[in-house]
Amino acid sequence: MALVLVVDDAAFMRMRLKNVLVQDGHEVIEAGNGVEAIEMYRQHRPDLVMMDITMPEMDGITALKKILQDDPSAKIVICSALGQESTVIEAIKSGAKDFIVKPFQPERILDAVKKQVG
Amino acid sequence: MSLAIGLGKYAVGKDVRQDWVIYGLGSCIGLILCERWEGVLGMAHIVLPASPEPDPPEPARYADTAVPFLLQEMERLGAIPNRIVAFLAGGARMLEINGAVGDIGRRNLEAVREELAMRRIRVGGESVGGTFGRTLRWNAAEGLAIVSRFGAADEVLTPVPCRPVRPGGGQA
Amino acid sequence: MSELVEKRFKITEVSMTQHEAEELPNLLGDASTPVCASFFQVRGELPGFLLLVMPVHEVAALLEPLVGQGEGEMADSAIGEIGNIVGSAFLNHIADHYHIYAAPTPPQVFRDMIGALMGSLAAVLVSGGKLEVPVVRTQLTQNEGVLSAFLLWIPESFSLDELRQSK
Repeated sequence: MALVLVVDDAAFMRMRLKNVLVQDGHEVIEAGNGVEAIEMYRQHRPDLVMMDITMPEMDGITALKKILQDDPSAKIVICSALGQESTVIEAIKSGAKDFIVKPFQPERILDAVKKQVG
Repeated sequence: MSLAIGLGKYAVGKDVRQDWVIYGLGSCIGLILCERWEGVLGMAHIVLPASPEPDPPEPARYADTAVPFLLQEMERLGAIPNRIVAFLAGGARMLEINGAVGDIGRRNLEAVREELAMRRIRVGGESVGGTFGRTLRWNAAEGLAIVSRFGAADEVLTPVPCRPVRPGGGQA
Repeated sequence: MSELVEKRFKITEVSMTQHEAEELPNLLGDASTPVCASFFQVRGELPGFLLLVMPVHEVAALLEPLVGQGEGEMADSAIGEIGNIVGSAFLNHIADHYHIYAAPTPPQVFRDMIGALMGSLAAVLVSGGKLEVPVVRTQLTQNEGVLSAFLLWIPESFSLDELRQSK
């Protein structure tokens, strides 16, 4: 049972991820962009962050870097449609623990969660 | 059979029997100039506010050339300038674009209004702004300018039908 | 989520053609046709515009299994996200092929006449000096063949010839 912060500008995607995670027994909080993500992380210190990349206000890679600056132990998994080589490499180099390309199977999400939080 | 007027295009005519239509006005302006003596009609599908050159190949594309050009063509057909009423549709803000373009719809609207005001042409009705698309139709049989939208009721811009008043001017 | 994967769009046709920007409203048929569309600017080394366009009457069938209704905020969010996923997959393919970076902005979602959307885009292109543009059009159908959508990519910095040569 983990506290997961789901970050995505699409309410639809947040709903889908939330359903998968809650069904597996996890607790979910949400943010709609990188700025909200940083704020929610500070307030709640979730066990794991599922972070989209393409968002208004602040993109996910920038938010990831800022969260890790604040808390180097933060566990952030990127969940994005932008799965091109240069992006994946940048995400991992910046400290993402995993990169899940949309569209994804629910198992891929749950496996990633299990791997990061046990 | 209606005549569809595409981006940057125009039509002028006297005693027009056919409907003229501009489908899907977003940031563009559909301009109707209705002359009420001889029954001359002009319609333009304006895309941008200002022409980059004095005599562009597509004068109807730019507000600052479309208005004088339409008037010139209408006068060629016998239109009396101080009998002309304008009807406008469009100028919506459809796309948020990062870059220098700004709100093209609003700039188009301001430019058209300025060109009309400069020539003392009264705007008889308009449906402009917002964030949605419009279709502007000149209903020739009734002499009405009608705006339709997806998912909302039609709007009639002409408070009274715009018809020629000269005895024998145009034919009902 | 499995529905989104199973009903994955299949590419049934790809074409690359040159068009007058002012003809874009008629590209997919009648300019007055109401469509659901998600619109993106493309950033990076292939600047331009990307749209996923579907006729309105087909959208309810796509969205009801996903969000329970064909309209409303969640439905629009789904349209935006489907456009993001399909559009990004397209850009990823090109980006990885040419070893470059090309990413979409967050989506703008529309339910309106296609002419209003494409005409407004044409105005942006013409104001930038682009009277003619290449359009890469991909027709997408669902596995059951019920929904047909179009992904349109309009690159700003290439001409059709340059695109064809690099293919």
